[in-house]
Amino acid sequence: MVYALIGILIGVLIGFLLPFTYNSAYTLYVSVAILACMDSIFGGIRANLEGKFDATIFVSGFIGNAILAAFLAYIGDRLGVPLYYAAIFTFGNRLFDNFAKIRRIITSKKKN
Amino acid sequence: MLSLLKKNKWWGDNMKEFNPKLTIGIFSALVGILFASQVKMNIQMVTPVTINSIQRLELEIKSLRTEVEDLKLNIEDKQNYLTLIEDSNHSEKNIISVLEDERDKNMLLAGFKTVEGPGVEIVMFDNINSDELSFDFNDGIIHDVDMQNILNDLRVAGAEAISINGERVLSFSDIKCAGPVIRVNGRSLGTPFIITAIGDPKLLMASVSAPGTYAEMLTKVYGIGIQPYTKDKLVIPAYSGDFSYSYAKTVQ
Amino acid sequence: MNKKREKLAIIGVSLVLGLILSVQFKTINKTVGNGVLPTQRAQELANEVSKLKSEKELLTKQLEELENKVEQYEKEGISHDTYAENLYKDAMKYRMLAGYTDVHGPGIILEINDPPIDPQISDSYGIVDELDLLLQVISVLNAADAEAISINDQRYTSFTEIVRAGNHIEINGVSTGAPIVIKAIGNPDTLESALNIKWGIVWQLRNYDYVVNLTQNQDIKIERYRKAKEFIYAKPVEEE
Repeated sequence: MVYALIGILIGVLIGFLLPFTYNSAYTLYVSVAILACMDSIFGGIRANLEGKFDATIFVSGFIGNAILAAFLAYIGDRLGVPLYYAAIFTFGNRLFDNFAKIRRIITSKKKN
Repeated sequence: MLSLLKKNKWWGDNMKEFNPKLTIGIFSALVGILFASQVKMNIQMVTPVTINSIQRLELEIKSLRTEVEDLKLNIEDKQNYLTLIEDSNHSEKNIISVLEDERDKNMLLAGFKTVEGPGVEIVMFDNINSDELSFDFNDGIIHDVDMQNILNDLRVAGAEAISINGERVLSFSDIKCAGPVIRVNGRSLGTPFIITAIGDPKLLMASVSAPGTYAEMLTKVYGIGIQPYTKDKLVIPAYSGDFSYSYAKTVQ
Repeated sequence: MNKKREKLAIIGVSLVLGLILSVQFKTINKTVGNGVLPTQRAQELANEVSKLKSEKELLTKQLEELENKVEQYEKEGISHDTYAENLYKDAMKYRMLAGYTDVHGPGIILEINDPPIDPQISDSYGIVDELDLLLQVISVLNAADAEAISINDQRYTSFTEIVRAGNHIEINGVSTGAPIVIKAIGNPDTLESALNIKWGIVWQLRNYDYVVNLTQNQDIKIERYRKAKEFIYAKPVEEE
């Protein structure tokens, strides 16, 4: 889990320094994708703590969920319906879910 | 860095041997990059965009554009007037003619001058067909509301001056219909009521006769007599009431 | 046989879905504009609104400065001549009558809000549907000797029209909607009682479930008519 934190910090630094931007119209979609990615990360951390980490599932989930979430937000925008709410609720929910599981595992490990 | 990777056997012989911690770490970095680039965009709140809000914004833009146009015209007018006054400040005689012109212009706009021009003349009378048994007696009479709607429609069509039975109708004119009598500017006038309006004859005519207009509804549904005629020359007298300001004062 | 039917059913439903999707796309495209995403469009529009608003503010200030200058010059020019001074007073009086000056004074403020939406009644109506009522308010106010009237800050003049446009109304060409705030300068008591008489216009509005607030106010400011008006058809008749 510490690795995740370090990773994020390094990524943020690189992101700020890199002159990498994209069309501001897409910010909505990227935000939703970020949420999906965070959910994957939390899921990965939990799986790792449970000892059930599978890289294929992690990577495919990371990339797949991100793309699907962004796509859903895009389609929703084209259709005039805020479909990104679906992504927000789902990933938000799972994020907190995974976080709860992580906490339980860590505290139970500490007990032993 | 490479030795570190080799040591932890990031890419093992089997997919399942990817070091979980490093994988998570690397992808977290990706998230970080995305996040940072997002923050750099300096976005305000992304509100859910509905088609409704887009339409509302477009309406607001249209209104604002009208207001800006009006302001520009007003500024142009004032600028011209200012130049006139500046020029005239050197000789007293000229300021008087400038002021006289200004007063006359405002008198004209305020409705205190007799005017003539093309327009329409509308003859209105109550429904005289008393053998329509299904009719409620009240329906066949011209009411205040009817008069106000027709005047409003005439204004929509750009009427520059309006009078009813020779009484000039202005923004502060009170109009009260009571059966065969109408009171305008305090004077009682009898039926038939003749509404005169100066403006574009075609537009004015359409506003009281085209299908879907209030006047057309009155004639078709309630049988009220409305006969509009376009005319090339109509005369509308100046306001004859006595209006004065007791409560309103200009803002200094 | 069953499998074929299932497949047909799926194809049929997918066709309908495809149809609905394409119609929806086209509708949205029509409102938002081709090749533009709604969020982007909303941002563009919001930017334009703020740009127009600041332009309007700038122009209003410019106009104010111009008018101060004009007043200054006018006052200078007439300071030696009583005839000119009276002429100036006359010119100002007619300017006021024409609606081209900001005025203030005692009077009333009438606020009309749309009825609260009753979930049982599916189609809600609003004040924009009933221009009649607005016209009647104005008529009542005039009968009670109102000296200046404004509707949602648009000065009511002899050329003011009230038109229905979609789910808004346009007054003096400016789009506006509920709640409608009507200000009138005059004798506050007279104005208030004229509006409040039994079965009068306020009673009618309340009868239709409009939420109506009527208050007296000792200093109401009503702005001038903002359109620069010129007669195209009506010409003055030389009398004398």
